[in-house]
Amino acid sequence: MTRDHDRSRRLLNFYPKAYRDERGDEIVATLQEAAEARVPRASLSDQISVAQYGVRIRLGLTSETMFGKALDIAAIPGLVIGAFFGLYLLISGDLPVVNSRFFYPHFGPFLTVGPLFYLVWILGVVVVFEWPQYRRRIAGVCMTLTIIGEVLAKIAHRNPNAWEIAILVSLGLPSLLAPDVLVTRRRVLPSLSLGLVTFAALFFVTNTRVNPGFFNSFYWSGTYEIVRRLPYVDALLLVLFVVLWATKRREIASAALILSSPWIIVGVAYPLSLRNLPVDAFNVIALIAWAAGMVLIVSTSRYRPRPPAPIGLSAVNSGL
Amino acid sequence: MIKEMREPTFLVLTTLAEGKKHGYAIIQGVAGLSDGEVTLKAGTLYAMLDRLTFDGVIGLAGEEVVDGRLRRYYELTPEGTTLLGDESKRRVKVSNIALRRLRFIGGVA
Repeated sequence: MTRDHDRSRRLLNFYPKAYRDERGDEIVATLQEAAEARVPRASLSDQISVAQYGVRIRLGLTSETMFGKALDIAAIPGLVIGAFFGLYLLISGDLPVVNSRFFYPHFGPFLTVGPLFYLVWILGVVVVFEWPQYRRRIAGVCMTLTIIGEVLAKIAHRNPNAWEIAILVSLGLPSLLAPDVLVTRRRVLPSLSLGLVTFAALFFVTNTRVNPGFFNSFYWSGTYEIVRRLPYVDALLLVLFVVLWATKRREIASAALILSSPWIIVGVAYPLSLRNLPVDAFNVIALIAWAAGMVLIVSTSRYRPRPPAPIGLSAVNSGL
Repeated sequence: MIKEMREPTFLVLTTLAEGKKHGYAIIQGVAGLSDGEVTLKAGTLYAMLDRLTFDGVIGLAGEEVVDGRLRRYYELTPEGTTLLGDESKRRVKVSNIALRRLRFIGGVA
C-alpha cells in the first residue's frame, strides 16, 4: 500500500457506503493510473474532483436523483424569477423615488445601486437562454456580483434592502447546485410564464403605490408588504405541492418547493429580525411544511445500490 | 435535443465508439482526441459515466483485475450509437457549411 493509494482510499469517505462498495475499487484504480501518468498538481485536481463528486452523491445532487432532477427543473426558472423580481423591485422600489424631494440620489438618479444588480440578472437570463449549458457559471456570476455589490454598497449606505437581495441571490442556488445533465433544456416558455406569474403576484400582494416619505428610511422596502401577505401565497404553494406530489408529478412538485424556499424562509426570518413585527402563525406552519417537504425530497434522493449489470454484458468478467 | 451536447460528452462517446474502455483509458482517449485540450478529471469522469449510464447512452461491458487494480469497462449502447451518429452528422454538416463559406471568401485554400 503506497501513500498515494491510502490517500485515494481516504477520498472515498466522501461517498456514501453503498456507492463506495460498488465503485470504490474502480475509482481508486483510475486515480492511481492517473497519478502515475501525470504531474503531482494534476493528480491533486483529480483528487479534488473525486471528493467533490462524493459530496454531490452524498447530498443527492446528481442527475439520477429526485433532488437533482428537481434542481435541474428549477435552475433556469429560478434565474428568470430572479430577473422578474429585480424588475419588480426596480418598478416598485427604485423608480418611484427618482426625483423625490424626500430622498437624495446616491447612484445616478437612483437611491441605491439596486438597479445595477437587477440589470445583471436580466442580462444573465438573456445569456442563459442562449447558452443553457453554462447556467451554473452564469448563476455564479450573477450571485457573486450581487453579493459583492451589496457588501460594498452597504459601506456607503447605498445598498438595497438586504432581505430582498437575499431572496434574489437564493434564486440562483438551483442553477449553482443542479447536476450536469446530458441535455440542458432552455425551458423558455415555462420559465417566462413563472417569472410573469411571480411578477404579477408581487404587484397583487403588495401595495404598488409607494409613498416615498412614509417609511422615513433611506430605502423603501417591499419585504414588509411581501411578508405580510405571504400566508395567502404560502397556502397556494403548499396546495400546489400536495396536488403535484399526489398526481405523481413529484419532480415538478419538488422544483416548486425549491423555488418557493427563499420566500417561505424570509416570511419567518424577516419578522424575527425586527422586534415589533409579529411572526404570522401561518408563515411558521408553511416553514414547517416546507422543511418536511425538503426532508422528504432529500431522503428519497439518497444513493441506492444499482441492480447488477445484465448477464450478457458481464460476460467479459475475467478477473473477479 | 442534440444541439446542446457538450464537448467532453461528445469526446467520451467518440472514445467509446472505438470499443469498450475502462476509466483511465477513457481519460486518455479524450485527451488524445482533443490534442490535450480537454483533460477529464477523475471525479468529472465518474459523474459523466454515471449520468450516461443512467440515460442509457452507455452500459457496462464487463470488468477485470489488472496488476491488482479493478478495471470496469464501458461501451456505447444502441441508443448511444444513434445519439453519437446524429451529433457527428450535425457537426459535419455545420463544418462543411463553414468551410464552403470560408473558401468563398478566400479564408481557406
